[in-house]
Amino acid sequence: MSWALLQLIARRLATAAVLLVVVAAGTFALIHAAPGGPFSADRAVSAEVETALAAQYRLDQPPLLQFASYLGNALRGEFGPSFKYPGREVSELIAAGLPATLELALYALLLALVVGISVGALAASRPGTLRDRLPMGAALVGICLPAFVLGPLLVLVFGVYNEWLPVSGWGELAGDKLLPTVTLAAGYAAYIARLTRAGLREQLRQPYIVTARAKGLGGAAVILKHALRGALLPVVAYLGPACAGLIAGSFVVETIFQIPGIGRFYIQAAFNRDYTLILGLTLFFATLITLFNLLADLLALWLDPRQREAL
Amino acid sequence: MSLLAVDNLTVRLADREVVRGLSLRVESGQTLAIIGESGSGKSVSLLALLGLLDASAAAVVSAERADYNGSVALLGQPQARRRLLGTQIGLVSQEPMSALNPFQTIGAQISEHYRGPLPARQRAADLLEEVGIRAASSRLDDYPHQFSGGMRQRVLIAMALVNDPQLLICDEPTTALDVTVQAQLLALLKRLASDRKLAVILVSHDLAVVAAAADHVVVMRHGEQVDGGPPAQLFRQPGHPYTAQLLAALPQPRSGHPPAAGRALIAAEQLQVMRGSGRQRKLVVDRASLTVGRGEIVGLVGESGSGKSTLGRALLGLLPTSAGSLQFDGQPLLAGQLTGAQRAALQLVFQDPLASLNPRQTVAATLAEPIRLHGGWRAAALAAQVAALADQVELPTALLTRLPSQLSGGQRQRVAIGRALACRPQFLVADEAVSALDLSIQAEILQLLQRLVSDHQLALLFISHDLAVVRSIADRVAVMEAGRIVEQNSAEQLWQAPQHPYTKRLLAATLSI
Repeated sequence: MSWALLQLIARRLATAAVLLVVVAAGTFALIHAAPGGPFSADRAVSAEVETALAAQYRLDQPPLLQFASYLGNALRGEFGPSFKYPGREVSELIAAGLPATLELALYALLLALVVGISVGALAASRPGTLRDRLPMGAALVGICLPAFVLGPLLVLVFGVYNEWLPVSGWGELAGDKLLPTVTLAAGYAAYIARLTRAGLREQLRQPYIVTARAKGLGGAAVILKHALRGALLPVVAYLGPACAGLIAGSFVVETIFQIPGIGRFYIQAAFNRDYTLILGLTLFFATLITLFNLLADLLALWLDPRQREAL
Repeated sequence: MSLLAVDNLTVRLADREVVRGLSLRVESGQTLAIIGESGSGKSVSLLALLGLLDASAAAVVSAERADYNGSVALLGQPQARRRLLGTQIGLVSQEPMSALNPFQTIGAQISEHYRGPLPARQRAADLLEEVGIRAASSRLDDYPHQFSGGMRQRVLIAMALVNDPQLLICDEPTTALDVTVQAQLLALLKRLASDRKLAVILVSHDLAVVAAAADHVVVMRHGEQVDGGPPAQLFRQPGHPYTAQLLAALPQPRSGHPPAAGRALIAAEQLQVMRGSGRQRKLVVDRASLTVGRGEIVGLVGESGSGKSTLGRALLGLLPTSAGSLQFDGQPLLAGQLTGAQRAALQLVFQDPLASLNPRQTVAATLAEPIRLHGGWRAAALAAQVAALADQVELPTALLTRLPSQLSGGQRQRVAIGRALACRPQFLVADEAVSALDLSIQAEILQLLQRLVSDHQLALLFISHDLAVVRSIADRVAVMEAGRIVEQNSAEQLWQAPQHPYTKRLLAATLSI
């Protein structure tokens, strides 16, 4: 690792830290501006109990002080107790939901990459033919079709009409991970396929492809050995936000298939005004997004020697 | 028996016949040159023979005969033809800057298709050594962008030679190369032809290169062969008016004495310019002193990387200078603090008009923008202004509604010059403004520039690596080497009695017919 690379990483991490504080402040302001509070939906309680609750969770202090003490604790890795899951820490809840969410995201990412890149490459190798138009048309549908439509549709076809696959759950019945993975991956696979195709078409027009073909290489070798690397740069750039999206955006899929991931908590926390849980989860996702973007940039550096030079 | 025998080759691209009835013979140990202007079908015919045209071009290729070594029918046996590629036939394609894969080390690219007994790296290093790259084995792991244009061209040649081919096809191998590098490359090709009994096909639009390197020349125009013969004979007694026309378009040394230049309009004194940032920051222009007067054309020559363009941009106030003084019309010129009038008075014309024109703006819009910016003309006056401008650069008004992609190279460069003239400049920098153009177009643009300079009393700095062109247009010439101006003199004096060793070397490497 070169010095310039370390500098880049250090710079990016420093920016990320500032960004996280801004995100925390924004979220804090928004949730406190939203009507209602964590305990307002509960049965009416006596004034003393309410005061006691507020004191216990420091809600009686001025907002700025609350935020400062929250940040201080967060720096030490303490995200506080949940307001709505009594006796449980926010970090505990995240840890409980994380394995399922991560597993789902990982499967979906792998599926999206494998399907997207191979379909994109096949389409690019015969532009304008049925082999190009059919999958690209399907990809367009895949991008347009939201998970909350595709998911129930898949459930209907494969789970209800045909009873081939379980309709919900995660790791309880054989094959129950298949439908959620496909539902989550579909949009990303479609997008990656289109990016790969466009990138490959662009690279295949470059003069260095003629050089490669003049060496006597066949069509597949030209694509795999020469064109694909450059074609994947846009895919890699998309991968950073995509990874974060896969993890954070799995709420819908987790809800459809009743998967015990983090997404569930997030939605409930928002409805319940579970201040600490919302803040903790938002910060957690913000961290993931910046991290994955950094990883994607490092991957692009590894792929493209010219970018390394420009460091 | 000829190594390559082609009779009556015809190539159709998208229902347009781009090559018609071309016949070629290539013998071992000989160099065949194909010349002609861009779009005449030189490269297309060779790529079509080798099956290297892009599949999406939907090319239809036919020939009465296209035999390699009397054994392989190039058009009839695509499988056998592909086996020849990279083994028997090596191709050095155009555009050294983009013909190498930017993501692979050059060592890997050279030896990718090597079939011989040596270790791949050793073979690659040997070849690089042979084409004249110093410390070759230490450069195997470098990427293309770490090499200059000339070096990349050599890498491409090494790559084409890796399996000891019998036929080497070089498509414009010396375009955009400095004269000294060009001379070295041509010598290398000659040596290879005689040492290895290599047959070479040289595609070029540079007559001087062809005269120096070829045994036989084919002249192409509009997809057809119009003339041919050994260069000595062909260039002395052209058999076809088109060949004569090409020869007449060669830049001629300027005759007559330049007019005495008036007061210096732009004057640089001991100018220093740094570029890059951090550790890569380096001095690109080193204590350069240069003046250009009204109505004067000053040529700036030197090899690529010598700092010509940087000096040109600094003189326009586009780059901050780190030392020295710069004056325009008696007033100090400071980058970043130019007045609107100064900005309008200092204009630039680039090498590649297609890249420097906005592809989505029509010619009229391109010409109108600077007028509006600097003049604030009303709409009616604007249209008249644009028409007058087009007239000045001899651009038919019918072209005003077109986009740059719908123009020829010469027309595009006229638009670029028109745009520069739009705000009535006083000092114009033409940075390799004719280098990408065919000979006849180049001659027209040079004439246009000369006329504009005398009509408007412009001061023109003409930057070029092509010495013959500079000699044909410049009153005075400055020679740049590694950021310094090593010699400055009137064009006539410089060519007759060069003083600095670098100037002498540069002039000696220049080819002529």
